[in-house]
Amino acid sequence: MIIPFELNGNMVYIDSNPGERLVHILRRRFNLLTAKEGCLSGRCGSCMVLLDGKPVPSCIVPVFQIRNSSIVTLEHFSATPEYHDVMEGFANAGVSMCGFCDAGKIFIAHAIVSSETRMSKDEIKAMFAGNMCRCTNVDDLVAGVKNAIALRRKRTNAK
Amino acid sequence: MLNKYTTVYHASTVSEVQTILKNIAGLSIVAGCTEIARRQTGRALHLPANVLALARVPELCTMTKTERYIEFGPSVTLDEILKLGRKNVPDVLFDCVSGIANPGVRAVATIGGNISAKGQRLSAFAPLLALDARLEIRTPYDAAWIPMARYFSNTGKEQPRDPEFISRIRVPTESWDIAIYRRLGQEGIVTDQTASFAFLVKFQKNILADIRVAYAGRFFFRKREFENLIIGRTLPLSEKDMINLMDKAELFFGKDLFPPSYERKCLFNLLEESLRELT
Repeated sequence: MIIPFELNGNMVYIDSNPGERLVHILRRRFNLLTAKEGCLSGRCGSCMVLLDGKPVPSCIVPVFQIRNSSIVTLEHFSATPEYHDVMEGFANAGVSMCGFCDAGKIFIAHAIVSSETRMSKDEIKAMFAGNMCRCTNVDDLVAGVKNAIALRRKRTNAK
Repeated sequence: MLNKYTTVYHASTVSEVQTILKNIAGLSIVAGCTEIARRQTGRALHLPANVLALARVPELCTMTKTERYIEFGPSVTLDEILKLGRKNVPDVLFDCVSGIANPGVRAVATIGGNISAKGQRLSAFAPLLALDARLEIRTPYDAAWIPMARYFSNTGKEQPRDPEFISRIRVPTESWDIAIYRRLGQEGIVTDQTASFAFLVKFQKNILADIRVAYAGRFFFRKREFENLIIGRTLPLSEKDMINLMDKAELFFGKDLFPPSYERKCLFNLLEESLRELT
């Protein structure tokens, strides 16, 4: 089955078994290795990508579902100013980035920072429910997100 | 096992969905596919031979709110329901949806998929059953509104029907004085022990005006006869009433319908705990 979709800003066409998991397509066909294979059930967050702007675990998405959608992986996202807001916010809060679930942490934080609603500490913690990070405690993640929100606000106001 | 021979049909309108249903036999309808992914651990998901994908049909992704009800397309994601906020969604439904999986999964999983997943009934089933949700069922030829309790067989077994799909889910938004939602089983994941329980009560002065009790797991129940037994009673319920009602519950949720098990005990515990709110 030929599936057209936008990957990191470029239109691509793949011929694939429709049931193939998106994480495998990204890693094996496109060599995009920031999406890690973890639990394969959407619980660990290590395979997170942005699907039409929303953070989604790519292991639970069969490839036929991404037809005409936009996928952004951490490789592409790391070149954006939004990424730097999140990373700087995390660095200031002492969030450890071992590399395994970075995609999950960064995309979830990006979703919170970009959200129009102001979230409480508990709501931010609940957003990280789909990310099993064993290196950083969730309070540091919350502090990192709050730093990133402040940085984002500062950057947009400067414009 | 790779399923190289799966054919996926994509529709862009409801009438296209109907045409595909009319012309292709043995179609399996999917939306978010999270339930299929949950049940499998292989490199590729094993899909049925013919699949009709509804997740991208714009007409099935809309939500409408009127004074008396809220209507969801079956392909509305759980995340979108939560974005409406607690004010716009019945409490039991909001509590239930916010407890499903995690935000990443909720961004893909759909409300239609949640209620029509085969086998184990998922979290939104009991709250929608209790809220008296109605489903618009479309066949290749027509459409009809059917109460959810009537659409799904009361024994939890699948009924053979013509090809059809859910095109709208209408949920009444009336307010309830007591709305309890409980989920059994491990948090965030679905196992054999997972079940959901919804309990709604409405008073008028100190008279119990309406009560709804629904349970969904491996089996699902909503017994109007049992509810009618409680309606009209004066509140607060006495201890004698409680004992009487729990005895009646044993009869209504009989062992032939729901064999003795851990889940059955949980149902009775939840029912008793909920009825205690009325004492």
